[in-house]
Amino acid sequence: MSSRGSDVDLAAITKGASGEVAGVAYGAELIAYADAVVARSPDVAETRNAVQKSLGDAGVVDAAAIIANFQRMVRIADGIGIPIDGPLDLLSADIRHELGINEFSSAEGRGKNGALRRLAAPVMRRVAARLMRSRFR
Amino acid sequence: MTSAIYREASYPIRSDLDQATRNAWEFLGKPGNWWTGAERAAFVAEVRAARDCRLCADRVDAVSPYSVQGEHEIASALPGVAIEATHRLTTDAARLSEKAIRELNAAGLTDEAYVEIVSIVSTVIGIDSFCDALEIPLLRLPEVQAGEPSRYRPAAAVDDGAWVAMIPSEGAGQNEADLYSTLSVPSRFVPNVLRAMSLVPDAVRNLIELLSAFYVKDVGNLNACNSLDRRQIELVAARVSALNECFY
Repeated sequence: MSSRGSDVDLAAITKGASGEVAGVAYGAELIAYADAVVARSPDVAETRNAVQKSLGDAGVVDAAAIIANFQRMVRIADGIGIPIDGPLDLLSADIRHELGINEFSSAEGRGKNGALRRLAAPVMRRVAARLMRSRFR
Repeated sequence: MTSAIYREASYPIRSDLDQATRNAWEFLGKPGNWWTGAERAAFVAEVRAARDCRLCADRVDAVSPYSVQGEHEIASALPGVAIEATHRLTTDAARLSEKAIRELNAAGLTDEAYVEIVSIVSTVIGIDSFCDALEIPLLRLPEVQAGEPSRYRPAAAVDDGAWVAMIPSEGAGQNEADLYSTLSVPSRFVPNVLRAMSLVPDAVRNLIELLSAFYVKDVGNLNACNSLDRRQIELVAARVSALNECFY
């Protein structure tokens, strides 16, 4: 994903992490923990301990809270069938394609695809980033 | 910090997490817009039954959930259509569709009552997942409060591209003037996921309180974080979403 102007390994989102996640400290540990909790796996304790070693007790609790929050949020989004917010639909078109998100079960009818959008997306992100910086300065 | 509600946690639980959970759990036991407190507590039991339901597990594994017939393993006397909605939301939300919602309507479940089920299921799943992550016992069922549902439907809710009506971000109306006001985003930028359950406005109020404790305090601030930095937060968020195949 670095070719898109990001130093974060976004592929880890859909493929998981077999090693360090570029751009995110302790990303591998956090992903392993999330995977174990979502799967209700017997590995939860081991993965939690790895997070605790890296990020301390507060990190464990905060990671658990984020996992819990998004277990909640996905059911709201998919239960109500909300469309992607307009600007984000364009800004994420290329990333969604590269990460295979458009193939998700819940993708049908929920976002616009197409080569032109994918080409435009990185340019629009740079424009949006400049606008956001000036808005939140 | 000893948590009043997560008593058996062996990690210090932030006071805001504790308070948000207590408020949400109490909210679950109160009469809602379309379901009584007793029914809402029964939904909590049903979410937990769904986690171990054989029919749900078989459907998740099948190419299409419609190809698997059978009876759910249930924990309540809720109407069958409500149990079906609860189990689907709990175990296979990514494969819900507008067709499925219309089928629920045809079976007697109104959009409003369905949205309240979405609110209950998502609240319970979030809190139960937190318990799972820390390996502490699930909370006992909420204390039921007597009373009738309000039957309130916001007049401002309109068809806005989702499977049910939503209150527009700029048109919350008098009764819902507060609905998005705590978010530090311009009204026209309220994300759809926060508008999603606005057919039941209290569901949105409950969600926003939970978000500020379980996600970041100021949802509209892109720099907000906790002991994890923002990249770590968003990596976990995105990973959980991907594991659930959530397109949004």
